[in-house]
Amino acid sequence: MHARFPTLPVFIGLALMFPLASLAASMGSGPLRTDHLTSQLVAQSTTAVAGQPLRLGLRMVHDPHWHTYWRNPGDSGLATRIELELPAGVTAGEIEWPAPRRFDVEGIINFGYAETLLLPITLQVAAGFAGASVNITAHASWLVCEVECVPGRGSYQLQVPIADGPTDRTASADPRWIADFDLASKRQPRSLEANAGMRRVDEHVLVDIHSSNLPPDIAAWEIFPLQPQIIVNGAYPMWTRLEDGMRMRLPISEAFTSLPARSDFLLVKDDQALIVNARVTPTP
Amino acid sequence: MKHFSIAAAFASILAVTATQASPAKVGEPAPAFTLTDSNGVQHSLADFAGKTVVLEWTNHECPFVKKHYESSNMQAQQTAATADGVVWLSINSSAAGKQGNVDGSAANRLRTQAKAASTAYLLDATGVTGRMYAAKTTPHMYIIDPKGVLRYAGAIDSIPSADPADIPKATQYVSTALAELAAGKPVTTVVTQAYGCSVKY
Repeated sequence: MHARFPTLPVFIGLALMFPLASLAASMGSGPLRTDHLTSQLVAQSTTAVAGQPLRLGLRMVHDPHWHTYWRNPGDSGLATRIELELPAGVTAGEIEWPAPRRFDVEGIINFGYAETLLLPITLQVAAGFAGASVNITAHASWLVCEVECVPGRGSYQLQVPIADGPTDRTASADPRWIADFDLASKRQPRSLEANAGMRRVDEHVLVDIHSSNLPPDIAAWEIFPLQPQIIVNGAYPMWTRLEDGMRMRLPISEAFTSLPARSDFLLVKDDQALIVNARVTPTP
Repeated sequence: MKHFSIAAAFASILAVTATQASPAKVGEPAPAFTLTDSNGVQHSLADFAGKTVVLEWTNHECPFVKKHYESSNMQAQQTAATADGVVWLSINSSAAGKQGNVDGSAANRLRTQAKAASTAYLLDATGVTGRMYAAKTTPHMYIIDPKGVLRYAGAIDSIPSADPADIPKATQYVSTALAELAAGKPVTTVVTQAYGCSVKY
């Protein structure tokens, strides 16, 4: 139940044994074993290049049947959180959440991840970054559940050496994590080019998607609301055709209060994921 | 509304209901229920007409319930509320064989150990009452006013985490709403997203 933190003395010891200048690849704290989960902070490439992005990922290997949570965890659960400590000249974006899966336990619907899953974060290394390596500390916390749940947390270190000269990024991909970064990229949502409006009608939210880019089998895709308290988690939309698109009719959330000005709905089929960004339209 | 409630409750029993709108709705009469407490005494919601009633869904093995009991946040709120004449009902909807399921004597041991100050600990192993209120998490909190109208549904506080260190930083929705109701004011925050473990139906 209690997280084990990598101890600082070991880390310093390793750093002394392998001086940074001679590193051929990123190195850092190894896989961290906590209840029902093994996690590790990894970098997509073996080196970082000043002036270029550097992709990191929290690699989470769940025990069979256990899962952690998406940004909107659904009816219960908690979204995984990652905080980074970065050197000057390095900034980080948000977690780039891959498309989640649905978990249904006796009608309680959750959104999250099972098996092996990497949560990517893109860093930007300043052009004038002068260090020999980008040294990163990350603190993550999560809730891991099968039916029962255990909170977990971990801290990680990672050092990514700065490349001596210009580097071919494909060549510098760390072979250990290629499959994980590829899967996370493949499952990144794309924004649907559409003009989408939503409004509440009684106990439903109607989302009118005006677009010629909707996949013809869209009614077979699963829907995940990015924001809670709008639609029932795990709802199956009722789809009807519009002149220039499709309409989704969704039951409002049990915790509905009001429609925000904008709301996002993720539609997922296999590894494909589309985000529909809808704006409130005045009720006619 | 009544017919719809009954229909939805039956749908729940058939476990096909995840997508049904909840029959318990803030601003409307709270659904009636009758449950047996840890001492074998039956309580109906109607018995408490004229009093403010708090419903607290619980499962002592859930880390989020532990957060609020091991920190004494829950017991402090129970003590303060019941001292003001509020009826506080802890409800356990864990099904037989599932995490947190207890019989009356086990429930009483838990209450003693935790120094709980709730009015009663109600056993809902069939989950019928939990489904009627669309209780999703432990804890999941509800406030019913003296006229029997549901006035609050949602989280106990504003920081969804399993970390007790967050409690002092959080807005305590239940005690805030109880204070507003006692002062004859409208409740400011009426519905929030509950957080915690899933109810073990």
